Amino acid sequence: MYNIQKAVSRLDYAPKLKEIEVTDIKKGLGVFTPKPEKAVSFAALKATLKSAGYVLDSADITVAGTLSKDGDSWTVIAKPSGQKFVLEGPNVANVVTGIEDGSSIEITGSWKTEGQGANAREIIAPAEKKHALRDPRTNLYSARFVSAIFFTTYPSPDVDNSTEAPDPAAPIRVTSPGLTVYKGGAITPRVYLVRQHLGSLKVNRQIVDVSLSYTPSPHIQLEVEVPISRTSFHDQATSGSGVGLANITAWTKYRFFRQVKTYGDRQAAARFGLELPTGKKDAPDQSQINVPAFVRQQLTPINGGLAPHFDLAFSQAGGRFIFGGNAEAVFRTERDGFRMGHEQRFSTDLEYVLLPREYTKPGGELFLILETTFVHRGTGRLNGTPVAGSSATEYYLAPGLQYAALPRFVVEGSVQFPVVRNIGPMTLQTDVNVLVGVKYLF
Amino acid sequence: MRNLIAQSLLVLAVVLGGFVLASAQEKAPDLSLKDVNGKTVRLSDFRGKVVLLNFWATWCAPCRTEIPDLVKKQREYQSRGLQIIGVTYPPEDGSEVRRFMQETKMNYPVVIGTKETKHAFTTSETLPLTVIIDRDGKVRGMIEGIMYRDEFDEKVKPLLGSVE
Repeated sequence: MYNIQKAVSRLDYAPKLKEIEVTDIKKGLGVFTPKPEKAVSFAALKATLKSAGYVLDSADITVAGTLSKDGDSWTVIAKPSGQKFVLEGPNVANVVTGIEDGSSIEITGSWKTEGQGANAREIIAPAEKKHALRDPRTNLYSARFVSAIFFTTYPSPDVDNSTEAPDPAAPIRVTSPGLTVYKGGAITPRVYLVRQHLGSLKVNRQIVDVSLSYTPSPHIQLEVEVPISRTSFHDQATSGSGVGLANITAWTKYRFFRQVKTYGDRQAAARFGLELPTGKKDAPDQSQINVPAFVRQQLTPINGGLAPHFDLAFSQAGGRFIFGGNAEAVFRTERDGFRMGHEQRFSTDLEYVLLPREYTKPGGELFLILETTFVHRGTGRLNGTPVAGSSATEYYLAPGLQYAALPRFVVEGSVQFPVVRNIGPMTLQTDVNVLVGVKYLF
Repeated sequence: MRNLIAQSLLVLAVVLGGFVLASAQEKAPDLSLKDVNGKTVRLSDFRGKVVLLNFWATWCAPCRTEIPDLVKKQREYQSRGLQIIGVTYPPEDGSEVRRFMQETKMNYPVVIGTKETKHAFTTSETLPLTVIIDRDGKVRGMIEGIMYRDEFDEKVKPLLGSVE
């Protein structure tokens, strides 16, 4: 039982508690069909939810009844209660056009009460019209109420407090997969601007990476990541560029541990990804750039063929700090005889909640982020043989900012640069990697 | 044959009904929990009073809404033998509880509970949740969600005596 259900069930026009459906407890959404013989009241709905600690943001109502002209205004008289609903708003004229006074009509719209006591009027701002009644005995009304998160801003555990706030958004740099499993969907477009070099060869990459994720339960997250890459290169003699789809990766994340504490969540998750051989594989030829074939292959958007990713991550929040870490292994297979070396990554992520200093409501939160990444890549292969000098060991720092402007909308930017590099002579060296991204939760 | 089945079902219904009735009034476990100051509070210390064990948490909006009303009830019915005990539900932060207690002027003890504390009474996931224990230490009922006035009048008031 949810508290929202209990609160609504106390209205004289409400159905039985179990007939009040809470469709999304996180968003505070519910739906119920009031008793048809009783008059309804938005103000009463608001008051009963308030008594249980909720704020009613808005409500929609569907009323079936008889359209009636009452002076200058249109009303719908509901059957069988006889309750009058006044139609207001910009859509009224459109809704009643072509319908005669006294006709049956079903109206859905935003609902409110104006006035108090005997002077109270129920107002509907119509959104749509329906002439044909499905069944005049049932579904005469269906009211949808929306209760907003208020009063508490604390994280909540997996029990019913009916106000569970969305988890804070996780860092969106790919080196830190984040542990937050937000129940619902998220779209995360990111742009990476990467500068690399190898001797006199200079390489610039612009990567647009769009991730779409869906979380059906608090433990499982499914994600697909689609990157498109543009690579331009030049040395002292020649230059060139190319655009293409990189390898699409399908991810599944399982959050197997979560201990929720006021100001101190601790969680752990395992993630498995499968990089599919979808990327553009054609490398520039020797006439376009005079470097070894293995280096030319690195100018494509791919690092090889099918590649499973295994990732284990944890995070711990405490006060204004959030600390996380993850270990990832990537096993690459060859595609047309080419692959970079297998990869091991160890990343840490330290976040500090810079703003607000006094938390009053979700949104408007600014995080300072510092990510570190240790990467070791083994020896790559070309045409079935190992390529000497293709392994690399690097350590990166990435300071950044993340701004959760709204509870469902996050902007992030960071700059990643190497602080330690031990790279073979056949591997492009990354000098800087700038990330700008947004995340929208739905 | 039909009569035999009907009689058997009747006997079964009576037995099950008795069992349900008996279990509804089973003895409350003797809880021994620390309050926010580290002092041990035992449920058995309140024998002879009508105890309302109110499971709540600072992060639970309905719980916070309910507490001022519980404070009033404690004040109003204390002389008739009412004793409310707040039991926090994890995750909880001791300093946050103390701050909230001061803000709302809670006039009854609050102990730090665990999930198991609540599970000793019910498997319900709802918060707030109030367990009604009579003067003999028997569980007389449970109220899921905010305890409304009519629920208090119906389930708790009959257990309270007249003004002492």
